[in-house]
Amino acid sequence: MGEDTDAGRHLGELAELYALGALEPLERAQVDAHAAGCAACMRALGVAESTVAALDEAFVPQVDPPQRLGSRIAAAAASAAVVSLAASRKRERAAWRVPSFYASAAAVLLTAGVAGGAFVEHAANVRQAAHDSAVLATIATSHFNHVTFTAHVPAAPVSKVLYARDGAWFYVVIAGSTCDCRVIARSATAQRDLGKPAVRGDAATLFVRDFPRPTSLELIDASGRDVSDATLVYSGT
Amino acid sequence: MVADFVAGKSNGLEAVYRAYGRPLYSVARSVLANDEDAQDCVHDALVRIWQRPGSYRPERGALRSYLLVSVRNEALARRRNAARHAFIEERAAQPAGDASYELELNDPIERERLRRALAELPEEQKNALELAYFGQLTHVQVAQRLGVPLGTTKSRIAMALRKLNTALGPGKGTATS
Repeated sequence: MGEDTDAGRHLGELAELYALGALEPLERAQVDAHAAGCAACMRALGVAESTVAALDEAFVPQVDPPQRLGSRIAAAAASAAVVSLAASRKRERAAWRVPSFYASAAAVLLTAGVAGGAFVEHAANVRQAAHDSAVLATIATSHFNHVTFTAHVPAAPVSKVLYARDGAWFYVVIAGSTCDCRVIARSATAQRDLGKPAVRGDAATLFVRDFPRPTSLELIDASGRDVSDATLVYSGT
Repeated sequence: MVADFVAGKSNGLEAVYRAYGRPLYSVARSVLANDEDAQDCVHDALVRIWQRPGSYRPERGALRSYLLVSVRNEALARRRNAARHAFIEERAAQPAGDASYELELNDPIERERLRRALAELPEEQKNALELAYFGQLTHVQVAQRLGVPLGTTKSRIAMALRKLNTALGPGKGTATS
């Protein structure tokens, strides 16, 4: 990845390139993955980031954000607070019961042919519930297709993607909780590393709304190896 | 504030936005050159980091720097993904040391340090850094633009940034809040 040292292979100059935004998505993902387990490189990233922040302070004209952005942030915070309170009360009333929206999630995903059992796991992080609710509402009110990923290596996890027929969103579901994979999305004009799906019980999921009409998705493991892929087809294309 | 944000508390998100919303929006706006895109970028990046415990750890350094770089990377990814490279090329084509990059640093001492440090960089390092930072190019694009090997380009950019960090002095790279 970077410089060989007595302590192993570190980021070296990739830290500065990362902070400047000069890396390709896959390289950035590799830096993130390495820094997560390497305190020295995490500090090196922090130092590089502080220098870029000083450049920003020096050269970027400061503009007041529109009021609407503050309202959106406040709404996101409030939404989490409401869900947190509701979840807390629900736990007090019936901790043993499966929360209704998780049951709904399982129903939706099972209808789509996905092993959705993981979704009935009681989430430790209740903030995630707000996100899940929005995802499930989107899925429930959309027309969507689904396709299974084609494995390229024997150890590839069973994975599936649900995607809106109009290409507005897609939802990757990976069976098993041990997959250390990242999702790469491609379209005719763009490619993006979307990061790791969030592990939820016995599955990992990733919901994406800001990458319209991807034509293919690829799972890569920590070493950058292509694990599996899926081709997304839209009506009229 | 930092602890609440890292813990995913609602008041942490709002406090961080109140404290850093302006510089974060400014960075996104400078990269994307569009109000709506900049708003989406800041919102999505900030909420994503806040919702993912462990994505920022205080031992990394200052939260403000981390967020600025995260928003910059998000904005650059969106810009590149949209395949709107024409504007980037145009900016990168400006001659090194172009006077249109106005220093706006509030602290006059720090501003002078940064100005002097930039001026003292060897020309080849300064050119590489300017193409990466002001030109918003990837290191591969910088290498192509300069016509030098990739490894040389990476070294020049990294060395330039390290020299700026040294010139900015202690505390700049180690702040934790």
